[in-house]
Amino acid sequence: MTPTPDPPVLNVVNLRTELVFGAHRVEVVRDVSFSVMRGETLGIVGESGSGKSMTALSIMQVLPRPIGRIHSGEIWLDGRNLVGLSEDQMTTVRGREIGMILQDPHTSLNPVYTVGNQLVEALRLNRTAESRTLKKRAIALLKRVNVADAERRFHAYPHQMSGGMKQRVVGAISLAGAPKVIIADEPTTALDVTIQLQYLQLLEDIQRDTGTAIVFITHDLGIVARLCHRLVVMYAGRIVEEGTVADVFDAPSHPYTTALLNSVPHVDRKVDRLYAIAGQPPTLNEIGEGCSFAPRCPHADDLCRTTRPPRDPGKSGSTDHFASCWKLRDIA
Amino acid sequence: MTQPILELRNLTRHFDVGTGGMFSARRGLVRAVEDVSLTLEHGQTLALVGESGCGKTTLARMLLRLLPPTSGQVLVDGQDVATLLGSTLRAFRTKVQAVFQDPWASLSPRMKVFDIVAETLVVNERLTKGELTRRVDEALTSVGLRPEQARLYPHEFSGGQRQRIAIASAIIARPKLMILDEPVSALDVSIRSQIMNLFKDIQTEYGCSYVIVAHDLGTTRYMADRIAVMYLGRLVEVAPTDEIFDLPRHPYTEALLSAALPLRPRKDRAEAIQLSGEVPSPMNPPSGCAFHPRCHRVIDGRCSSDIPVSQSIGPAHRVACHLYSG
Repeated sequence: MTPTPDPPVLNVVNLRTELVFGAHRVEVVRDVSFSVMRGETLGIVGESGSGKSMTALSIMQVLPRPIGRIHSGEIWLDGRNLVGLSEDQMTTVRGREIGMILQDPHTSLNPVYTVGNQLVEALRLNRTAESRTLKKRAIALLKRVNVADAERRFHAYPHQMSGGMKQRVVGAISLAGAPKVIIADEPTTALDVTIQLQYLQLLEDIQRDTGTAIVFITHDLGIVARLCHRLVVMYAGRIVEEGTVADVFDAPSHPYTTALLNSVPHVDRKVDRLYAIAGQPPTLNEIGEGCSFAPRCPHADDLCRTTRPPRDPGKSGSTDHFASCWKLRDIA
Repeated sequence: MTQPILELRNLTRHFDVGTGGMFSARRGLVRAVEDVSLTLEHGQTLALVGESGCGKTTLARMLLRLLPPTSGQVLVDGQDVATLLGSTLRAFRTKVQAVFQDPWASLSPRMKVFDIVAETLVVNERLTKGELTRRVDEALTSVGLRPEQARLYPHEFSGGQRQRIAIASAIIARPKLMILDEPVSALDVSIRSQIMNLFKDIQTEYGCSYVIVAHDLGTTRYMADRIAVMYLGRLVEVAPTDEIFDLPRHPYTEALLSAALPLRPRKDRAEAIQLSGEVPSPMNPPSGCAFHPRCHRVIDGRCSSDIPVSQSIGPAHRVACHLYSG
């Protein structure tokens, strides 16, 4: 389904999240803003330490306790600001309004309960079905995520299933509350390529049927190209580029995005030598005042190192393509 | 023709496992690797490709003599590794080295980098302290680290640097063959290309051969000269890299490659072949060709009854599929 011009279902505005270690605080999400429409899939791309998972945890408000907290910003879900809601209120948001799929299906299911039991629990908590229909609804959900032989699998324990099937069950649980937004944090990283493709196809089908928005967090640009409508690229806690998948892949405008695209080996053509970005991503307490990518950027000068670059229109010329780079107009 | 660095002859490995729960006497047989024959020439890179459970890690462990084969042979430089003893075994342990996936698990946290890197030489060769230091310095420099970093402990390094330490400890003995088991998949995207380029530079400098196990097809396309595709313990196709990617012949190879996600927005892309179902259990593989229940080009009758024989369909290109058996 194509995105509709309605107001965004999820709108994150100037989000800042920090981890507090005694007197020392580290900002892990630095002034991040983005929005997702109904029926749209937004990719958040970044490496470890880029803040992509912390952004997701901030939206769900399940930051590591007691050190993680939202410093400032707003998270609007369908017209309601989630920042400042009580824990009780958030409990009703999680699962029912925002579903979550995590990376590792082996740890996100409880090993001592059957998958049917866990699905029924999710349905009961979300109060989306009457108690006598719970089992029927659970089996329908298992069928929805293409678990073969759902009636029998309802009674199976997680260890009796393959990784791909477990991840489908996690998907079914996240669907139990018919959420407006599903946040998927690297859900296919632990899966084989052919199973990964089946899973991405499943997410697309679900989105087409329900109109749910998907925020897909990944480091894999191939998945973004396959699945997402738009993407944001994060580096060291900040968004460095955002736009539609076509604009960002065809006209990457931040040197980090360009470097990432050039450093990934292609399956569909032979490359003699890959581009390698020098150095490594900064740890979060070494980030200076200027552009975080400056220490690794071949185009950086004094301005880049000292002053944070503004958010400028990207090279595609589209009105929804932006990059934060001082050298945007200088680099061919 | 010179002798290949590595030759596998009908290599097979079965595992005995219980099937009826913890206290049951029922036994089953997992055919992890079944009748695999392959060769690798000096200075070349061979990639083993396949999904989890296809036997590629079991195969790699047999190459390292960490696991004895049930039947068949592994020949390194023409020598059956199962027959090695004493000094010939020590020579093998320097000649063949490995780099594993996780540099957090593969380096001892209580040893200094110097001792980690020097270990192979300390165990297998008698060198003076000065000579040892020179070799460690040289190995660290080759992988892009500084000699003075030898005094540090692994926890003082990032993931990419740790993998460099693991590589230094593998190349210090100047191996002729290196087994790389998912050598970049635990690293950040921007670090992966650094490490892949490093492997290529080392190969140019030392002339060693690689067997690389990787699930990322882009990585294998970039690194390998030849690709061996495995499915449920059997080799289904072997061919030069470009040939495999441009003209895959086995339906499984075809499906596997089409499941890879190219870096292009979907508007200009061919539809992928979607495989139905999952990889069956290697304990109870389907009859005939193990791939037939998921195959999109299955031939009635034949595929479910006869195991296809591997045959040549071009120079250095072999495939095991009934579509090509006349």
